[in-house]
Amino acid sequence: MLLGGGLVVAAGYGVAGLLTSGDLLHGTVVHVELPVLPTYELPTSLVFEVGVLMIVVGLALDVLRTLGGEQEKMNAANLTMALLVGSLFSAGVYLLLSRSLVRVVMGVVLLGHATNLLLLQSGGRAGAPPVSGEAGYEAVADPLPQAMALTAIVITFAVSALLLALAHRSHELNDNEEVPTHSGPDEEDP
Amino acid sequence: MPDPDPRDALELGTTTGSPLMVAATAGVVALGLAVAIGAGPLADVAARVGTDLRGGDSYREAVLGGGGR
Amino acid sequence: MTVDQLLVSLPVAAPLLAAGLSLLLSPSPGAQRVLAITVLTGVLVDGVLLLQRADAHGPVVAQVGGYRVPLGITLVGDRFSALMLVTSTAILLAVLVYAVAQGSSESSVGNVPSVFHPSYLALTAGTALAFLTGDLFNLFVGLEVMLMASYALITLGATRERVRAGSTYIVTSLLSSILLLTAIALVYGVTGTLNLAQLSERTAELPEDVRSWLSVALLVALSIKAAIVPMHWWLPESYPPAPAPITAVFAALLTKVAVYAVIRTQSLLFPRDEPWLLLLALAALTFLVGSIGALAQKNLHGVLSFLLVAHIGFMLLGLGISSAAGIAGSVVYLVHHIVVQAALFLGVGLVERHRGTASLRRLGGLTSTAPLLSVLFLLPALSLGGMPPLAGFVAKLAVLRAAVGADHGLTLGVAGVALLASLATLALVARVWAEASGASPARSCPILIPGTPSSWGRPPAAR
Repeated sequence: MLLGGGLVVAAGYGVAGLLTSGDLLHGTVVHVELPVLPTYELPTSLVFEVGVLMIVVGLALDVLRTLGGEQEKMNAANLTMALLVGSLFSAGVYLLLSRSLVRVVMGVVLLGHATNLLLLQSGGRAGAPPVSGEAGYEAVADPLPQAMALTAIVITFAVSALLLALAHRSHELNDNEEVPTHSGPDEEDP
Repeated sequence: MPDPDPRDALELGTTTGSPLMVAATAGVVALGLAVAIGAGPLADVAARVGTDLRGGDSYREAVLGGGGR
Repeated sequence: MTVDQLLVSLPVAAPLLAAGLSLLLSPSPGAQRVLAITVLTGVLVDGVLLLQRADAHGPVVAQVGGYRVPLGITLVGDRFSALMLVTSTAILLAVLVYAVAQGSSESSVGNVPSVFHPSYLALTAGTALAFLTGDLFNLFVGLEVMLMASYALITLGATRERVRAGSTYIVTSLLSSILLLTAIALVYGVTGTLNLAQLSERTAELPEDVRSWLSVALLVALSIKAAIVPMHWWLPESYPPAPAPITAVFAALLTKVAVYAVIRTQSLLFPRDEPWLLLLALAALTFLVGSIGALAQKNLHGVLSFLLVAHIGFMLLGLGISSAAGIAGSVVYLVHHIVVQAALFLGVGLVERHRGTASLRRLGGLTSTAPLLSVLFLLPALSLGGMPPLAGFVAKLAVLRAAVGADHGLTLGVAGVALLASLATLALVARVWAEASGASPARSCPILIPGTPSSWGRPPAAR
């Protein structure tokens, strides 16, 4: 439908805007006739982002294939998956508590993975890929959690990228990417 | 008392905001007064919201009942 | 029928589309401004029409894409969401005008406006989606769109202070989003649907303990976003460094959208007949910590941020009473709180421009050098404190009357704490006013004790 299409197109623009804003954070001189990509100055951050992307996409594909594939007789509550989710959660929280922003980002990414796995788990039994015509209604895995996980992956990805850009900026400003000890709003106060 | 932070003065200046900014703020303040003046109708609507949310029937009916009304 | 669908879909779709257009228009800031103001005005009109319609004929429902109920995305405009939409859009519009005025008079910001307008419009769309959605997952998406835009806005300019505040804010919001998603996954795993209306039917059949765990999981996830006390730590840290109009929007809207989500999910999915002890306890804690924190601040931003936290407690109290009157009180309070917070933070922005600082110590003489500004600040401040003719009094009265009407020991106790918090607010307003009407900016005076005799006697209006 037109409305849905419009929403998708507009949301695409919105995401592009966020990415552009992430770029503008670098303070590079951007000629804004077109939203062209400015030159990145720090290759490591770019590598990180690509790495995060690869992790996310790789894991997502893997999980989708595993759950959607031929693995029969998975219980609704899979113990292995539950353990995996649990350990990802705890590792994520541990990383989140550290001071370095890059570690925090890693923690956030792990937490995101844990939640996505949980989302997929919430769909119940695994089944055939939920593509029309491939299998009967009964055999198909629940498509809704997969759709939700995809949405969540996109969101986690965008925010991780933004956080990494912030970490980079913080590195530029402070020579490290740690969260400063204390500078509250009343610091300027004598 | 030390001098005002020079950074602040640089960033923010010491002028009053433009008339439009003051007008926008005044608009919001006026909206606040309007909430006070229109408190009666607002309370009525809120009371209906309260009963709506307590029951939840109208919500369920609207969404599930007729499909897209 | 099509009119209905248009009414409900437009507040979400139009700003999103405009955000894209605005991005393309970034070479010409003038066009961006016109576009943003036009769209927001349109959404405001739409919201008013929607409110009228929902009030007269019941909830307005649209199925996006034309799918049947559990499959598609449902948008629902009932009285509650329409009321919230109108209030928040009015504020968004006013703040936009303020921001445009500030931008034009402050040309040093350089490339900022080109990102500001698209982000602002996306924020509007996210807010509208969060209000109008009839689906738990889309509630998450709406909150997320809103937060994404807010991430861009809070780090505009990327000074050291903003990067620091921004990272705290983003990490905290992201954590709460992940928790919310976890809660959603759990809800889906148990009930097999995410449509709020369907959920409300299915949660009724769940065992008692599963129900309360789900309810608490959702509450915890949303309470970080709503800055309810044990999870409020990020708010006073991250709001102040951002530019005034952005702080105003954040303070007025972001936490309130989360409070809306709490009220919506808890009242619809987990209806209670008894007062909810957990929420009442949280409300009391929120009052106490917020007020005490506010008393210790030396800076207008800090004071307002903590007062913002303290007053979230009123909405929790209303919801926690679990009666129609209590929820009605919360709704009135929500409306009042959105308006008053926006007014206060915009006012602080003006004071800051006038004075070059928002430090409480340097406010002296403000009433004589800028009387209009002082009045603009004093009115909402008194309203926040709950002075009788103003909106804050009406809202507080509604909540407290419901608390007394519930006739339950605990609600009465929390109502008492609420009164204490109001008193603390008034004392703070008096203190700020005393500072502002004092002799000169360079004067130093003891400010940590709000009740110093010298500050009590002076302002007749503040008592």
